[in-house]
Amino acid sequence: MQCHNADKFINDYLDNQIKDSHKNELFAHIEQCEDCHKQFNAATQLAKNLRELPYPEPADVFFDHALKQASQNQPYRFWHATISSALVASLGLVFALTLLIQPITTGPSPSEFNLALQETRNIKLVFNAGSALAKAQLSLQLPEQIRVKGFPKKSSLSWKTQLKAGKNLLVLPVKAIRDGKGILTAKINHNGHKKTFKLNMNVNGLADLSTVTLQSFEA
Amino acid sequence: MTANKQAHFESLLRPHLKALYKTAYRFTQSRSDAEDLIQDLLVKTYARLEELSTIERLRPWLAQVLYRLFLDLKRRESRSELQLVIDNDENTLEPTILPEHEPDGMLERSKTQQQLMTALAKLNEDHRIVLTLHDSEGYTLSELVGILECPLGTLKSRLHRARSRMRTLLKREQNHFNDPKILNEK
Repeated sequence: MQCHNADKFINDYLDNQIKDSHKNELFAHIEQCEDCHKQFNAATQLAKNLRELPYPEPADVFFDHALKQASQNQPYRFWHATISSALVASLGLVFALTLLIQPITTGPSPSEFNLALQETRNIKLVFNAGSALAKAQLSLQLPEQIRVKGFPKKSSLSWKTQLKAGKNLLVLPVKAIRDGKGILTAKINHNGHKKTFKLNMNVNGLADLSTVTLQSFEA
Repeated sequence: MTANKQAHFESLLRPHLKALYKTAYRFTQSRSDAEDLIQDLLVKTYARLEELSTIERLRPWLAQVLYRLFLDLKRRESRSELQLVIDNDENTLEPTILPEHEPDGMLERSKTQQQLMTALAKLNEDHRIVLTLHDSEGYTLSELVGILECPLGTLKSRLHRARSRMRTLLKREQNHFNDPKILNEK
Protein backbone atom coordinates (compact mmCIF):
# COMPACT_ATOMS: atom_id res chain seq x y z
CA MET A 1 0.00 0.00 0.00
CA GLN A 2 1.19 3.51 -0.87
CA CYS A 3 0.87 6.61 1.30
CA HIS A 4 -1.42 8.27 -1.23
CA ASN A 5 -4.02 5.54 -0.61
CA ALA A 6 -3.90 5.91 3.15
CA ASP A 7 -6.13 9.00 3.30
CA LYS A 8 -8.93 7.25 1.42
CA PHE A 9 -8.65 4.15 3.57
CA ILE A 10 -8.64 6.23 6.77
CA ASN A 11 -11.82 7.94 5.64
CA ASP A 12 -13.39 4.60 4.74
CA TYR A 13 -12.41 3.36 8.20
CA LEU A 14 -14.07 6.38 9.85
CA ASP A 15 -17.13 5.90 7.63
CA ASN A 16 -17.32 2.31 8.86
CA GLN A 17 -17.23 1.26 5.23
CA ILE A 18 -13.80 -0.25 4.90
CA LYS A 19 -13.30 -3.78 3.59
CA ASP A 20 -11.45 -6.13 5.92
CA SER A 21 -8.66 -6.56 3.40
CA HIS A 22 -8.20 -2.78 3.13
CA LYS A 23 -8.28 -2.43 6.89
CA ASN A 24 -5.51 -4.97 7.23
CA GLU A 25 -3.51 -3.15 4.56
CA LEU A 26 -4.05 0.17 6.31
CA PHE A 27 -2.99 -1.12 9.71
CA ALA A 28 0.06 -2.83 8.26
CA HIS A 29 1.01 0.39 6.49
CA ILE A 30 0.69 2.70 9.48
CA GLU A 31 2.86 0.34 11.48
CA GLN A 32 5.61 1.10 9.02
CA CYS A 33 4.90 4.72 8.10
CA GLU A 34 5.21 7.38 10.77
CA ASP A 35 3.51 10.11 8.76
CA CYS A 36 0.47 7.99 7.97
CA HIS A 37 0.37 6.79 11.56
CA LYS A 38 0.20 10.40 12.73
CA GLN A 39 -2.49 11.12 10.16
CA PHE A 40 -4.50 8.11 11.33
CA ASN A 41 -4.18 9.15 14.98
CA ALA A 42 -5.20 12.72 14.20
CA ALA A 43 -8.23 11.56 12.23
CA THR A 44 -9.43 9.11 14.87
CA GLN A 45 -8.82 11.66 17.65
CA LEU A 46 -10.90 14.20 15.73
CA ALA A 47 -13.68 11.64 15.35
CA LYS A 48 -13.51 10.91 19.08
CA ASN A 49 -13.65 14.61 19.93
CA LEU A 50 -16.61 15.07 17.61
CA ARG A 51 -18.45 12.21 19.30
CA GLU A 52 -17.93 14.02 22.63
CA LEU A 53 -18.91 17.39 21.25
CA PRO A 54 -21.00 19.15 23.90
CA TYR A 55 -24.37 20.68 23.29
CA PRO A 56 -26.63 22.83 25.45
CA GLU A 57 -29.43 20.92 27.12
CA PRO A 58 -32.92 22.23 26.42
CA ALA A 59 -34.91 23.82 29.22
CA ASP A 60 -35.99 21.37 31.95
CA VAL A 61 -39.62 20.95 31.00
CA PHE A 62 -39.16 21.62 27.31
CA PHE A 63 -39.91 18.12 25.99
CA ASP A 64 -42.97 17.69 28.23
CA HIS A 65 -44.47 21.00 27.18
CA ALA A 66 -43.61 20.54 23.53
CA LEU A 67 -45.26 17.10 23.45
CA LYS A 68 -48.42 18.41 25.11
CA GLN A 69 -48.65 21.45 22.85
CA ALA A 70 -48.25 19.35 19.71
CA SER A 71 -51.75 17.95 20.10
CA GLN A 72 -53.14 21.47 20.19
CA ASN A 73 -51.51 22.19 16.86
CA GLN A 74 -49.43 25.01 18.22
CA PRO A 75 -45.79 24.97 19.22
CA TYR A 76 -44.80 25.87 22.75
CA ARG A 77 -42.14 28.50 22.22
CA PHE A 78 -39.34 28.92 24.66
CA TRP A 79 -37.60 30.95 22.06
CA HIS A 80 -38.66 32.91 19.04
CA ALA A 81 -36.33 31.84 16.28
CA THR A 82 -36.39 34.56 13.73
CA ILE A 83 -37.80 38.01 13.71
CA SER A 84 -38.61 38.74 10.12
CA SER A 85 -39.83 42.13 9.08
CA ALA A 86 -43.23 40.66 8.31
CA LEU A 87 -43.48 39.07 11.74
CA VAL A 88 -42.40 42.25 13.46
CA ALA A 89 -45.12 44.13 11.62
CA SER A 90 -47.78 41.53 12.30
CA LEU A 91 -47.12 41.20 16.02
CA GLY A 92 -46.49 44.84 16.64
CA LEU A 93 -43.01 44.34 18.02
CA VAL A 94 -41.02 47.52 18.01
CA PHE A 95 -37.28 47.21 18.20
CA ALA A 96 -35.94 50.72 18.18
CA LEU A 97 -32.43 50.48 16.88
CA THR A 98 -30.79 53.83 17.25
CA LEU A 99 -27.36 55.31 17.71
CA LEU A 100 -26.02 54.91 21.19
CA ILE A 101 -26.64 58.01 23.26
CA GLN A 102 -26.71 56.65 26.82
CA PRO A 103 -23.64 56.09 28.96
CA ILE A 104 -22.73 52.63 30.17
CA THR A 105 -22.68 52.35 33.93
CA THR A 106 -20.08 50.19 35.59
CA GLY A 107 -19.77 48.48 38.94
CA PRO A 108 -19.11 45.20 40.65
CA SER A 109 -22.71 44.02 40.92
CA PRO A 110 -25.26 43.44 38.18
CA SER A 111 -27.45 46.36 37.18
CA GLU A 112 -31.00 46.33 38.45
CA PHE A 113 -33.92 47.47 36.36
CA ASN A 114 -37.04 48.44 38.26
CA LEU A 115 -40.53 48.35 36.82
CA ALA A 116 -43.99 48.91 38.22
CA LEU A 117 -46.53 46.16 37.61
CA GLN A 118 -48.13 46.52 34.15
CA GLU A 119 -45.65 49.25 33.27
CA THR A 120 -44.09 49.21 29.78
CA ARG A 121 -40.55 50.53 29.51
CA ASN A 122 -37.62 50.40 27.15
CA ILE A 123 -34.55 48.48 28.28
CA LYS A 124 -31.42 49.65 26.54
CA LEU A 125 -29.00 46.83 25.93
CA VAL A 126 -25.52 47.83 24.89
CA PHE A 127 -23.18 45.33 23.29
CA ASN A 128 -19.57 46.29 22.80
CA ALA A 129 -17.79 44.47 20.02
CA GLY A 130 -14.04 44.61 19.50
CA SER A 131 -14.51 43.91 15.83
CA ALA A 132 -17.40 43.52 13.43
CA LEU A 133 -19.26 40.25 13.95
CA ALA A 134 -21.27 38.97 11.01
CA LYS A 135 -24.25 36.74 11.74
CA ALA A 136 -23.94 36.97 15.51
CA GLN A 137 -26.70 35.07 17.30
CA LEU A 138 -28.36 37.31 19.85
CA SER A 139 -30.68 35.59 22.34
CA LEU A 140 -32.75 36.98 25.17
CA GLN A 141 -34.13 34.88 28.00
CA LEU A 142 -36.79 36.74 29.94
CA PRO A 143 -37.74 36.24 33.58
CA GLU A 144 -41.36 35.34 34.27
CA GLN A 145 -42.01 38.88 35.48
CA ILE A 146 -41.57 40.56 32.09
CA ARG A 147 -42.42 40.03 28.45
CA VAL A 148 -41.38 41.84 25.31
CA LYS A 149 -44.12 44.07 23.97
CA GLY A 150 -45.89 42.24 21.16
CA PHE A 151 -44.78 38.80 22.40
CA PRO A 152 -46.88 38.28 25.54
CA LYS A 153 -46.38 34.50 25.67
CA LYS A 154 -42.72 34.24 24.78
CA SER A 155 -40.10 33.87 27.46
CA SER A 156 -37.25 33.86 24.93
CA LEU A 157 -36.27 35.59 21.75
CA SER A 158 -33.40 34.82 19.45
CA TRP A 159 -32.23 36.12 16.12
CA LYS A 160 -29.14 36.63 14.02
CA THR A 161 -27.76 40.05 13.45
CA GLN A 162 -24.71 42.00 12.41
CA LEU A 163 -22.70 43.53 15.24
CA LYS A 164 -20.36 46.27 14.19
CA ALA A 165 -17.14 47.28 15.91
CA GLY A 166 -17.90 49.38 18.97
CA LYS A 167 -21.13 49.84 20.85
CA ASN A 168 -24.30 48.24 19.58
CA LEU A 169 -27.51 49.39 21.18
CA LEU A 170 -30.74 47.43 21.31
CA VAL A 171 -33.76 49.16 22.78
CA LEU A 172 -36.13 46.49 24.02
CA PRO A 173 -39.72 47.45 24.95
CA VAL A 174 -40.77 45.29 27.89
CA LYS A 175 -43.90 45.05 30.03
CA ALA A 176 -44.04 43.97 33.67
CA ILE A 177 -46.71 41.29 34.02
CA ARG A 178 -45.96 39.85 37.45
CA ASP A 179 -44.51 40.99 40.76
CA GLY A 180 -41.12 39.80 41.86
CA LYS A 181 -37.47 39.60 40.92
CA GLY A 182 -35.86 37.80 38.02
CA ILE A 183 -32.90 37.91 35.70
CA LEU A 184 -32.90 38.87 32.05
CA THR A 185 -30.15 37.03 30.20
CA ALA A 186 -28.78 38.22 26.88
CA LYS A 187 -26.36 36.02 24.98
CA ILE A 188 -24.19 36.67 21.98
CA ASN A 189 -22.83 33.71 20.07
CA HIS A 190 -20.48 34.21 17.17
CA ASN A 191 -18.50 31.41 15.58
CA GLY A 192 -18.63 29.44 18.80
CA HIS A 193 -17.48 32.38 20.93
CA LYS A 194 -20.13 33.20 23.47
CA LYS A 195 -20.75 35.93 25.95
CA THR A 196 -23.57 36.17 28.44
CA PHE A 197 -24.95 39.34 30.00
CA LYS A 198 -27.30 39.40 32.96
CA LEU A 199 -29.57 42.11 34.20
CA ASN A 200 -31.59 41.92 37.42
CA MET A 201 -35.25 42.78 36.92
CA ASN A 202 -37.38 43.95 39.82
CA VAL A 203 -41.11 44.39 39.37
CA ASN A 204 -42.90 46.18 42.21
CA GLY A 205 -45.40 48.93 42.77
CA LEU A 206 -42.91 51.72 42.18
CA ALA A 207 -41.63 52.92 38.86
CA ASP A 208 -37.99 53.86 38.51
CA LEU A 209 -37.49 56.10 35.54
CA SER A 210 -33.71 56.02 35.52
CA THR A 211 -31.96 54.75 32.45
CA VAL A 212 -30.19 51.43 32.92
CA THR A 213 -27.72 49.94 30.53
CA LEU A 214 -25.98 46.63 30.54
CA GLN A 215 -22.85 46.20 32.59
CA SER A 216 -22.46 42.70 33.96
CA PHE A 217 -21.34 39.67 32.08
CA GLU A 218 -19.96 36.22 32.51
CA ALA A 219 -18.51 33.51 30.34
CA MET B 1 -59.84 8.99 22.66
CA THR B 2 -57.75 12.15 22.54
CA ALA B 3 -55.89 11.09 25.67
CA ASN B 4 -55.12 7.72 24.06
CA LYS B 5 -53.91 9.44 20.93
CA GLN B 6 -51.71 11.75 22.98
CA ALA B 7 -50.29 8.82 24.94
CA HIS B 8 -49.60 6.90 21.73
CA PHE B 9 -47.91 9.93 20.19
CA GLU B 10 -45.72 10.42 23.25
CA SER B 11 -44.76 6.76 23.37
CA LEU B 12 -43.60 6.94 19.75
CA LEU B 13 -41.80 10.28 19.90
CA ARG B 14 -40.37 10.64 23.39
CA PRO B 15 -37.60 8.01 22.99
CA HIS B 16 -36.22 10.01 20.05
CA LEU B 17 -36.56 13.55 21.33
CA LYS B 18 -33.17 13.98 22.94
CA ALA B 19 -31.33 12.65 19.90
CA LEU B 20 -33.47 14.75 17.58
CA TYR B 21 -32.87 17.84 19.67
CA LYS B 22 -29.11 17.21 19.36
CA THR B 23 -29.51 16.79 15.62
CA ALA B 24 -31.48 20.04 15.46
CA TYR B 25 -28.73 21.72 17.44
CA ARG B 26 -26.13 20.44 14.98
CA PHE B 27 -28.19 21.94 12.16
CA THR B 28 -28.71 25.32 13.76
CA GLN B 29 -25.89 25.70 16.33
CA SER B 30 -28.46 27.45 18.48
CA ARG B 31 -30.43 26.09 21.41
CA SER B 32 -33.34 28.38 20.70
CA ASP B 33 -33.53 27.44 17.04
CA ALA B 34 -33.14 23.76 17.93
CA GLU B 35 -36.05 23.99 20.35
CA ASP B 36 -38.14 25.72 17.72
CA LEU B 37 -37.37 23.00 15.20
CA ILE B 38 -38.36 20.26 17.65
CA GLN B 39 -41.59 22.05 18.47
CA ASP B 40 -42.43 22.43 14.80
CA LEU B 41 -41.55 18.80 14.21
CA LEU B 42 -43.93 17.65 16.94
CA VAL B 43 -46.79 19.75 15.67
CA LYS B 44 -46.29 18.44 12.14
CA THR B 45 -45.93 14.81 13.12
CA TYR B 46 -48.87 14.78 15.52
CA ALA B 47 -51.09 15.39 12.53
CA ARG B 48 -49.56 12.30 10.88
CA LEU B 49 -49.83 9.93 13.81
CA GLU B 50 -51.31 7.05 11.82
CA GLU B 51 -48.45 7.25 9.33
CA LEU B 52 -45.91 7.42 12.17
CA SER B 53 -47.16 4.13 13.54
CA THR B 54 -46.32 2.38 10.28
CA ILE B 55 -42.75 3.64 9.93
CA GLU B 56 -40.22 0.99 10.73
CA ARG B 57 -37.18 3.15 11.43
CA LEU B 58 -38.62 6.26 12.90
CA ARG B 59 -35.57 8.27 13.89
CA PRO B 60 -34.05 8.77 10.42
CA TRP B 61 -37.51 9.55 9.10
CA LEU B 62 -38.01 12.17 11.80
CA ALA B 63 -34.52 13.55 11.14
CA GLN B 64 -35.45 14.02 7.50
CA VAL B 65 -38.55 16.02 8.48
CA LEU B 66 -36.36 17.99 10.87
CA TYR B 67 -33.92 18.81 8.09
CA ARG B 68 -36.72 20.12 5.89
CA LEU B 69 -37.92 22.29 8.76
CA PHE B 70 -34.36 23.57 9.16
CA LEU B 71 -34.30 24.57 5.49
CA ASP B 72 -37.58 26.43 6.05
CA LEU B 73 -36.06 28.17 9.07
CA LYS B 74 -33.08 29.29 7.00
CA ARG B 75 -35.38 30.74 4.37
CA ARG B 76 -37.19 32.72 7.05
CA GLU B 77 -33.90 33.92 8.53
CA SER B 78 -32.71 35.19 5.19
CA ARG B 79 -35.68 37.54 5.15
CA SER B 80 -34.86 39.06 8.55
CA GLU B 81 -33.97 42.73 8.40
CA LEU B 82 -33.07 43.22 12.03
CA GLN B 83 -29.86 45.18 12.37
CA LEU B 84 -28.08 46.89 15.21
CA VAL B 85 -26.53 50.32 14.91
CA ILE B 86 -23.28 51.34 16.54
CA ASP B 87 -21.23 54.07 18.06
CA ASN B 88 -17.47 53.82 18.46
CA ASP B 89 -16.08 52.85 21.81
CA GLU B 90 -12.76 51.58 23.05
CA ASN B 91 -14.36 48.81 25.10
CA THR B 92 -14.21 45.43 23.47
CA LEU B 93 -16.13 42.20 23.49
CA GLU B 94 -13.57 39.52 24.14
CA PRO B 95 -13.88 36.86 21.48
CA THR B 96 -12.86 34.01 23.74
CA ILE B 97 -13.64 33.30 27.36
CA LEU B 98 -11.64 30.54 28.90
CA PRO B 99 -12.93 28.84 32.02
CA GLU B 100 -10.93 29.73 35.09
CA HIS B 101 -10.14 27.86 38.27
CA GLU B 102 -10.69 24.47 36.66
CA PRO B 103 -8.47 21.42 37.05
CA ASP B 104 -5.90 21.16 34.29
CA GLY B 105 -7.62 18.23 32.61
CA MET B 106 -10.92 20.03 32.42
CA LEU B 107 -9.27 23.18 31.15
CA GLU B 108 -7.46 21.21 28.48
CA ARG B 109 -10.69 19.49 27.45
CA SER B 110 -12.47 22.82 27.36
CA LYS B 111 -9.73 24.23 25.15
CA THR B 112 -10.03 21.29 22.78
CA GLN B 113 -13.80 21.62 22.64
CA GLN B 114 -13.61 25.34 22.15
CA GLN B 115 -11.13 24.91 19.30
CA LEU B 116 -13.37 22.25 17.84
CA MET B 117 -16.49 24.40 18.01
CA THR B 118 -14.68 27.40 16.57
CA ALA B 119 -13.38 25.32 13.70
CA LEU B 120 -16.82 23.80 13.13
CA ALA B 121 -18.37 27.24 12.96
CA LYS B 122 -15.96 28.11 10.17
CA LEU B 123 -16.93 25.13 8.04
CA ASN B 124 -19.46 25.80 5.35
CA GLU B 125 -22.91 24.64 6.32
CA ASP B 126 -23.04 21.53 4.12
CA HIS B 127 -19.72 20.31 5.50
CA ARG B 128 -20.64 21.09 9.10
CA ILE B 129 -23.95 19.27 8.87
CA VAL B 130 -22.68 16.10 7.24
CA LEU B 131 -19.67 15.96 9.56
CA THR B 132 -21.59 16.44 12.80
CA LEU B 133 -24.48 14.18 11.81
CA HIS B 134 -22.11 11.38 10.85
CA ASP B 135 -19.20 11.75 13.25
CA SER B 136 -20.97 13.32 16.24
CA GLU B 137 -24.49 11.94 16.10
CA GLY B 138 -23.68 8.59 14.56
CA TYR B 139 -26.00 8.58 11.56
CA THR B 140 -24.71 6.23 8.89
CA LEU B 141 -24.04 7.41 5.37
CA SER B 142 -27.00 5.42 4.06
CA GLU B 143 -29.26 7.10 6.64
CA LEU B 144 -27.88 10.49 5.65
CA VAL B 145 -28.74 9.81 2.01
CA GLY B 146 -32.38 9.83 3.09
CA ILE B 147 -32.16 12.58 5.67
CA LEU B 148 -30.27 15.10 3.56
CA GLU B 149 -31.76 13.85 0.27
CA CYS B 150 -28.36 13.68 -1.35
CA PRO B 151 -26.63 10.91 -3.37
CA LEU B 152 -24.22 8.64 -1.48
CA GLY B 153 -21.18 9.56 -3.59
CA THR B 154 -21.76 13.27 -3.06
CA LEU B 155 -22.20 12.78 0.68
CA LYS B 156 -19.05 10.69 0.98
CA SER B 157 -16.85 13.18 -0.82
CA ARG B 158 -18.45 16.02 1.15
CA LEU B 159 -17.76 14.22 4.42
CA HIS B 160 -14.16 13.54 3.48
CA ARG B 161 -13.59 17.14 2.42
CA ALA B 162 -15.20 18.29 5.67
CA ARG B 163 -12.76 16.19 7.73
CA SER B 164 -9.81 17.49 5.77
CA ARG B 165 -10.99 21.08 6.16
CA MET B 166 -11.53 20.52 9.89
CA ARG B 167 -7.98 19.34 10.33
CA THR B 168 -6.70 22.48 8.59
CA LEU B 169 -8.93 24.75 10.66
CA LEU B 170 -7.98 23.00 13.90
CA LYS B 171 -4.30 23.53 13.17
CA ARG B 172 -5.02 27.23 12.78
CA GLU B 173 -7.04 27.27 16.00
CA GLN B 174 -4.21 25.56 17.86
CA ASN B 175 -1.79 28.13 16.45
CA HIS B 176 -4.16 30.85 17.56
CA PHE B 177 -4.12 29.51 21.12
CA ASN B 178 -0.36 29.35 21.06
CA ASP B 179 0.00 32.73 19.37
CA PRO B 180 -3.00 35.01 20.03
CA LYS B 181 -1.79 37.49 17.41
CA ILE B 182 -3.20 35.14 14.77
CA LEU B 183 -6.80 36.25 14.96
CA ASN B 184 -9.85 35.51 12.87
CA GLU B 185 -7.87 33.93 10.08
CA LYS B 186 -10.22 32.41 7.52
